[in-house]
Amino acid sequence: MGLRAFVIRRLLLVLPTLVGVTLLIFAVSQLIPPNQRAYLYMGEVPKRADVIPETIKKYHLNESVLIQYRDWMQLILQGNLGYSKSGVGMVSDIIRNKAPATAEIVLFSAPIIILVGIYLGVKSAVHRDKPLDHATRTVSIIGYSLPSFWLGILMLVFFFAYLGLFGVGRLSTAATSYVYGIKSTFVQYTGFMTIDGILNGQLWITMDALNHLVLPVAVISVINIAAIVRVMRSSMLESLNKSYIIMAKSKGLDKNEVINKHARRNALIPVITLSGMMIAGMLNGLVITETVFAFNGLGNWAAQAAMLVDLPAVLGFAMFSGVIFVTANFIVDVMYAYIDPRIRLG
Amino acid sequence: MQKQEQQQDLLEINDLKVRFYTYEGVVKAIEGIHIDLQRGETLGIVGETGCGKSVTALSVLSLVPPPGKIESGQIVYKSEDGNIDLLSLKERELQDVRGEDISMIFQEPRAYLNPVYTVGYQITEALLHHRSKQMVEMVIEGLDQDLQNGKKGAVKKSFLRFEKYMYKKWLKDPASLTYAFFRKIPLFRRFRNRLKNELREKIVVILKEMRIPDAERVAEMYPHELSGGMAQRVVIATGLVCSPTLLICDEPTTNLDVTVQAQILHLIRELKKEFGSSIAYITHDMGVVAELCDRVAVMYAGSVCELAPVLEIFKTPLHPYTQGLLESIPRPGCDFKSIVGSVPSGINLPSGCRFHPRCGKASDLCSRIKPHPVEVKKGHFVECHIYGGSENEYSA
Amino acid sequence: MIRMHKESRFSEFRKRIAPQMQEIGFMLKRMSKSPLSVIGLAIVVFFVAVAALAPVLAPPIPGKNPFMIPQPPAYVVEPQPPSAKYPFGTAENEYDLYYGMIWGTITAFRIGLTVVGISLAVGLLFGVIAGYYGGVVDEIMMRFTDIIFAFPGLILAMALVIAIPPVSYVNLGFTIWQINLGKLDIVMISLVLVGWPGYTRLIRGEIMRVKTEDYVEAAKAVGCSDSRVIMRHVLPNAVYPLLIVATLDIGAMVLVAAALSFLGLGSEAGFADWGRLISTSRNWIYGGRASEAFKYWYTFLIPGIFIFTFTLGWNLLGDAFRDILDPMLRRR
Repeated sequence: MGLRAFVIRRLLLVLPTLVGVTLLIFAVSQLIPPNQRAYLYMGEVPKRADVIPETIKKYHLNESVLIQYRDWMQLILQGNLGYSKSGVGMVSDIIRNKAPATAEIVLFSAPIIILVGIYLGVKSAVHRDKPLDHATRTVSIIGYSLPSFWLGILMLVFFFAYLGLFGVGRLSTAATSYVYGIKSTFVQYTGFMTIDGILNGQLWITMDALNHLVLPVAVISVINIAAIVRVMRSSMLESLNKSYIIMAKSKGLDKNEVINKHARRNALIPVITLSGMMIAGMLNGLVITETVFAFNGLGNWAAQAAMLVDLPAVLGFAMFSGVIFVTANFIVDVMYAYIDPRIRLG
Repeated sequence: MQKQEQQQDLLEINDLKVRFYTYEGVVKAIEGIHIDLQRGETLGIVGETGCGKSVTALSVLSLVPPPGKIESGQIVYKSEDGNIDLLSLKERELQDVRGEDISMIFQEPRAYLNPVYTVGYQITEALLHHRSKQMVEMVIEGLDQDLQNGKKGAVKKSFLRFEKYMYKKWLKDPASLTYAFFRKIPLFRRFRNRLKNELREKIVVILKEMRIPDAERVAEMYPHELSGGMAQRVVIATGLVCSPTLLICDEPTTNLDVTVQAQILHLIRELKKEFGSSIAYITHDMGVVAELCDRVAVMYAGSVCELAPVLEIFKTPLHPYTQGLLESIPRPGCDFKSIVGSVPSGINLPSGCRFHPRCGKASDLCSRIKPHPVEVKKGHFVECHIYGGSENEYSA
Repeated sequence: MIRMHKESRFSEFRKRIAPQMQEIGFMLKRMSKSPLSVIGLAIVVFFVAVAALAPVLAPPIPGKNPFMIPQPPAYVVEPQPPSAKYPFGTAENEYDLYYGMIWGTITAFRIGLTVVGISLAVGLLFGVIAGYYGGVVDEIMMRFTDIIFAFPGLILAMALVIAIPPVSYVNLGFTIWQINLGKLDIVMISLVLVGWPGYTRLIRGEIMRVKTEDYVEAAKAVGCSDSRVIMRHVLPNAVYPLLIVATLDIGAMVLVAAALSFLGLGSEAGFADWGRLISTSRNWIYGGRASEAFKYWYTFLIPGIFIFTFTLGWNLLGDAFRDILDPMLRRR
């Protein structure tokens, strides 16, 4: 069967799901009265106040659902997600501007979570019921039960308010005015402050950005490591009980080889799936974490938009995260098939 | 038993006791059994499910999984280097024995092969673990030959010298950092290709010996892509790749079709001649025993009831359980005969002789005292009060 | 000795469920051995007690909604530290934290149990149908759950919360039915809508697994009707993972609801809800100076501890179930 055929088959499944995503968002939007919905259809920043009745008429917002859906899909496929009251701009522009900030957090957290989570999970399973295992499990279940906003607040109070370390927001005021000021010579090549700082030759910007990243990354990492460790541990325990482990031992392989090559590879399979979905779903937790730390990213904006009942913003954001999630799932499935040859058969 | 002068003991299990500590209680899986295995013979271990034959096999290589624990006893392996008690070995020393001197093959081949690695890789593992030094030396020899061969250009030669250097470094110190480092770099990693090719050749050779058609293709397949019979051949290949002195087979044909079973049995017989290994064959099928084994031990509920050459057992079974087993083999024209009752649970074993509740010839003594093994005839041991199991000690 | 009289129906029933009783006995014995499980159970019991005794522990003002935290007409904006009048202190705008914690427990149970209960029921129904009948029905159901799964839970919940109108009219022909939803109700509805596919997927998977087991084939061969096969053979064996997930979800749902409240999307100001009470504490953190950093510790520490402990209790319980059911499943 092979990997290629599997990838193509999965791709074909992804498309209807994406269509379904748009359908769901559309259905949710139908719950809202037309004059609010009008913002979804705005092609550009509205200049006049009476633009709303015009929009309602133009897109038949009072009429049949099918026509509305058709019009809306046309806009979507052109990349137009509507106008956001709270962000004062087109939703698509806002997403494009704020995405790198959020992505930066994800980029730093993901490797930490995966590597630390897998390592601790394996160690915990191998030394089952010994002190290390108990300690890891306790810390893990505490981390899993912590509300992320609470952990964030506690860290803020302790590190920021009490110790005066790190900072809130994305950059300090000095760095912000340097990067975004009128006379700024700072070029945002990637949108990632850490990388741009190096590319612009301003290392202090990079350090400043890192300084502000520590707390959000820490909060996200702690909670997600807890989840990964649990799954890795149970998966590893199951794997260690399988028959092929006895066979591997009977060949004379030493403990490390058996654990790392045989048990772990099989145990990683469900964990990889979980990690992929977790990273895709990090947007979820980031809505809260960014709000707690006033970090200027997608999550923060989405939270504010929700409070202000800015419909296009929230729906646009939901659709964006939906697409990301589906894509991430697809990638995870492919990786899964790469690791476990049995899956390729279907 | 014509070759008596050449035969020596290869393996001796003395007073082995194994227990499993489960939630429902302590399972006394094996209680003080004595079995010996001669060099060059095929010893069968027969019994119903749950009698402890698999546990015996696993104990030889100390592979009994938790919650099982080997409580006491000795398993003496008599190699050319002397006698070793396998149960007293440390993990490191055990790893040298496993796969190299004593190998094991199992019942459901596709469950015992790791699904995420190719079949060829899994055979390679055993080879690489025990024979890496020889393999690397062979590769170096090949490299030397190529270097002396004037046909290769200068650039190629320098690369060959690099390869040789790497292999020599590994020979000196397998944990060398330089080696580990270069292993990871994509371009330089190619120096391993030689070793990989050598290994691949060896794998194909041994697969062919297992009478597997199209061996090159099979080596790259995954376990779930193979049929039961093929998978079992692969498992046997894994066991025999380092030419062990003893091969333990734990019901390898039980889950296979009858025709495939016949093929595998035939294969095992041939391989025994080719490789010269001794075999311990565990099964519940007396038919297989008759076909394959030289001597057989009959086990029941954790004890060995009878141990004798195959012909003896079939002609004159002494223990009531053995008699019951042989009678219960269905024959055309006869009624079904079975042994009354069922196998006891390992937690609540009957007192005295474990078989007495189901034994037609049980006496009061049988329910009180567990009999010792008695050598009734030369080479024929029985554990039963009928033959005086209460007075004599086990005569080795 | 032969029994001449017929066994009574009751003793027959007892004999039939004897193996399950034995398993439950094993379960409880196993649970009592692990300290973490005992702690989990203790925590849950503690909260149940608090919820049950709420009217006694924090008497509400008669005539008013007990879930609205009493607020004196001339209230102080700045949070007050714990005192005789306010045992846990006050949050912003002089909301009694002690009162909020006690009645917040009932709110938490309400959210957790209702959301999980309804999600479980709906998910079970759809999942059983999809799993048992398979084919087209199953495919449609899977696409549907796929779509809902395509969204991270909190974000979809957010979208639903702001979209669902608080007041709506349903035209029933002879009359128009006005549905009034409180803000918390909207949150709960959103969570149910987001949560049911999870259970559907789970039960469907289990049913598909159990469906292929031999005893189901045997039951069908004997002629059992579909519903009997489902109820008596398939469900009892497939339902265990659901139990674990449901227990863990009770804590998780409370966390998500608290998060929504924290963002301002949940209950209204002054409602006895833990998340709500923490959200205002943010305004009082940016002290900047080390000496003042912990000044308003009670505003975030106390509600936070309640949320954390509640979730922890259910998580420990769910974990205990999982640990116990695993060796049971393996023993089979």
